Amino acid sequence: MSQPDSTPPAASMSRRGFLRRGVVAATGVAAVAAALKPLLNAELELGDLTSLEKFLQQHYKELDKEEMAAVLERISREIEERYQIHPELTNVKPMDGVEFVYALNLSRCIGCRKCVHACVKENNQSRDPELQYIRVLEMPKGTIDIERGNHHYERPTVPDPDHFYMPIQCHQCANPPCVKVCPVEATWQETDGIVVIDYDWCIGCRYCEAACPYWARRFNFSQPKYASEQELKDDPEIIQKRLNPRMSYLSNRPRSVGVMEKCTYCLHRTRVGEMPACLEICPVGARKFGNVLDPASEVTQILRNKRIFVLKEDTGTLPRFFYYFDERRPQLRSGETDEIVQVTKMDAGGEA
Amino acid sequence: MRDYLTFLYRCFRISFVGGWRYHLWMLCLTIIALLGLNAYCKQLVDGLATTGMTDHVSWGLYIANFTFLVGMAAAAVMLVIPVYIYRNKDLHDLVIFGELLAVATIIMCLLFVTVDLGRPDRFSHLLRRFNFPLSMLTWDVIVLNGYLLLNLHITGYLIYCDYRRKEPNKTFFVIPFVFVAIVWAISIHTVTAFLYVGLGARPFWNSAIIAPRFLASAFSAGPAFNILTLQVIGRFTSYNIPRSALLLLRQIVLVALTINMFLLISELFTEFYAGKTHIASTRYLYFGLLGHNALVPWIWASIVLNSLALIILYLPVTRSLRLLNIACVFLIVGIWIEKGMGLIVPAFIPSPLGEIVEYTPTINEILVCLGIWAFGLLLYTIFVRVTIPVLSGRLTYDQPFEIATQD
Amino acid sequence: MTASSSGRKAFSAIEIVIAICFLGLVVWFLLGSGSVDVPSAMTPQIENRELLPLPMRFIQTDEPVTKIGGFTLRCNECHRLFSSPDEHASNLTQHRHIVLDHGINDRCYNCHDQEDRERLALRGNRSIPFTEVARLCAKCHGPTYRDWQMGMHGKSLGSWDPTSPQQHRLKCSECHDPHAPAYELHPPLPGPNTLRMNKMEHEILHGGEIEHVDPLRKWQIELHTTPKEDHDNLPQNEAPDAPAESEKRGDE
Repeated sequence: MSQPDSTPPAASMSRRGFLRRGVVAATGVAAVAAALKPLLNAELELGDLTSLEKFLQQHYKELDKEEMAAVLERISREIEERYQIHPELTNVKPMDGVEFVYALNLSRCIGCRKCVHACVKENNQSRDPELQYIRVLEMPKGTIDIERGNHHYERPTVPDPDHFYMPIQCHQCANPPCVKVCPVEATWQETDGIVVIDYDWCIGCRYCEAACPYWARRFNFSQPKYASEQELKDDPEIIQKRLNPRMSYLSNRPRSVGVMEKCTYCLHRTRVGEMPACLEICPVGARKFGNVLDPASEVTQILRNKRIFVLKEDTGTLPRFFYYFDERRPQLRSGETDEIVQVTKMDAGGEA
Repeated sequence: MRDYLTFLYRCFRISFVGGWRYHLWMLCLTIIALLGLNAYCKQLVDGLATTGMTDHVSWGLYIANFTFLVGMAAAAVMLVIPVYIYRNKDLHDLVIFGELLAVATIIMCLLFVTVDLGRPDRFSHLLRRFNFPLSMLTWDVIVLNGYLLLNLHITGYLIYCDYRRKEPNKTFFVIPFVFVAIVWAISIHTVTAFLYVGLGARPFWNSAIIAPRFLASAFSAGPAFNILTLQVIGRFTSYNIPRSALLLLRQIVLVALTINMFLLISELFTEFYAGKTHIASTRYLYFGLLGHNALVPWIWASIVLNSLALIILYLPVTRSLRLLNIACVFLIVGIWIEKGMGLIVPAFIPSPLGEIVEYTPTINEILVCLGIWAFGLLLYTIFVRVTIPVLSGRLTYDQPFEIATQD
Repeated sequence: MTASSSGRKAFSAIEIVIAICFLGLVVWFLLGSGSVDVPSAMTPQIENRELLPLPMRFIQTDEPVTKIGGFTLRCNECHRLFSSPDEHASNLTQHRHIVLDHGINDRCYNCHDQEDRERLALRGNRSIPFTEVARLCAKCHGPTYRDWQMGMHGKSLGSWDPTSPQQHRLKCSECHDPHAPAYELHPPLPGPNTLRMNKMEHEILHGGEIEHVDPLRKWQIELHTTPKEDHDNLPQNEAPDAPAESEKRGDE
């Protein structure tokens, strides 16, 4: 607003008029200031602007070893302050000669949704609002049109004999549309094929979410919460119990409000040789995971021998997530009977 | 330099001077803008959960308004082309108002994009790592800001020359920029349309007709808005708006709207006649899907309004301004629905996995939008308020400020 | 700032209006709440035991033993003493808790070795230890055995790397009950209940019929009070399961 001192003297301007204008201007300033009041509620939530260190943090790919160590330390400190747990925060790099592929047996999946919740538990997703990486679709037999899928099926028991079940999560595409559209390169594909997000770089424009044909990306519309207020009242330690302390920079460390997140094939586990959480929990062994560059791996065998399809192949995304079927009840086909005989012969040989 | 600062200061001062109508208008806009600011602060603190957006419908009213306003901004070119290419005399003095409108709308566009960001505090990341040319969003950042600068330059230079009572050096400082701006205006549309068209995941957008329709609808809504604002200027200021100029704009609106309606028919025919499976979103928009039909009344209202506008414009009687104005209002509202809600929201419904979650904007979100609209109109009013005394020679460097205020 | 005095008066009136409006805004902002209510959907509770990555069954494949009256006995400790006729499951006098539901495979000695109860029977009077149960199953389930050998059927835990010592490929009987190998039905865990979904209704397509269901009402307690004991990490050692339903999922 205009300051009285700098105003050039005007013939018709009286002192009183001046004062009046000053008062009006002051109310205007007060109104602007009052409009900003909600910012006071922000605690330490106002993002990167509150700390120079955060504001100046480099993109993941530009951080050298020491800078990364410093960043990890800072993030651990923040997690400790906020959630009172001591995280084992690491930055796991992709392994050489490894390209991860997922295969899911649609003949086996029973739609129990255990993978959905095991994933939430492993990857520290927000519980309120609820955020899940895996969606299980129940589809009537006789179609794989996912528009006919039911996300909200509820039955006393699964599987239903008239339906089959199709879990969908990030397909870690070899030609990922989400990576292409990101204006700030906050998401990219690593050498092992996993598409990752630098949660400290994402500006939250949600263009990637619009670009993903598998609806695999999730946005933190609020600050993630790990327990409702009622749950906290019942058990003050519940957040410490729920959070998985084993975290990595690119996967399951707690996210902040306003950034995207997605399935990373549990890279903090898989990059040290372990299985992803969704696979471990699967009660029927419908999920298969491994290194597609290794000819002996389970997934390579599946890709070679099974009937495979990928979802929405027409979008050209080249997914690293394959669906396959078993031959169901192979009855009285001469070729297969021979094989049974062959196997038993092999057994006989082994025994002899 | 000193002169320039004085000029800016005078511009600033004069924007507070006016009759009671002017003050009341500005007061209303300020109040709405402040309510919007307050709502945005709440959004900053609580996150985008304060909007009606979800992981299913991840873009809503903000991006819808952004899309509509990009069209409005580019429509300035529809005043520029007749003047600079066809040497039209009527519009010559009015071009600047179109360009000022472009400046105001581009600023609104940028604000709409900013409020849509989850982490606006990381805006600097755009400068530090820019995914150009792969991401269409980076193209949009470039073309929008470029268009803003171009128009700021052209209008600023012309107004400042008038203020200095100097003949503007058109060959060097205006004409080249104007021609760049003409191409640029078309590019901001095209790029914004490509933003959506390039997404193979969304069959509703992934269609070649989106970009042409974008241009056609913008070139009808933009000049229509100019017809209205020019009349307001003519009514409330001493500035003379020739009737012939308005009728020329009417001609442009008529042609653009006809093309837009033709493209709409082509689009609908292609979608529905073949009976493909990927038309769930289109079906949702026009007829509702499995009992969900939140957008159906809106889109039909839009089609009815646009058709009415078209019919009115085709009647020769509408050379009377009253009917023309009604047609313009119909058309602007119709296009706003069509380019906003009708283009952005249905692409997300059903989700790529076939789930239907509808979108209803929250009050907070609507307040933010209204705030930005009010702020944009406030800016445009100020621009006009400054420009008119300068153009009519009452606000110049060699006259005392008070002459300018005698309106 | 107009010259006429009447103009000045009007001007001051508008000034007062402006000041009052601004002050009104100040009061409005300061009194108003600083935040917006965001609808929050209750997170469904999931028992931790539902999410333990453990094999489906805990059957002691390595040790052919049974528990009788609190004592752990090896099979042959009894079977050396008593002769056991070639019985059909329906007329068992011992081991009556065993529910045999394995299709046409309904004779004990199809799988168990008649001479040595601590071994399993292959064809041609040969036998294998319990640890090699997969070869027994391969007698009939050739393609599945082949798939299992290549890692295409069944479940591996520990590591995705087949050369890693951590990798543990579960054996047939770690998931399937050999006496009733078909999988039993499970209650599904709660479905999605994400942001703002609670505001709207959702449909379930039932073969073309549409049912409207409020997702918030879907995960109410009655679904979750049906406990599933067999998910406890207690070994379930050949305990009798609930009688198999007719819709049990068939398996090769």
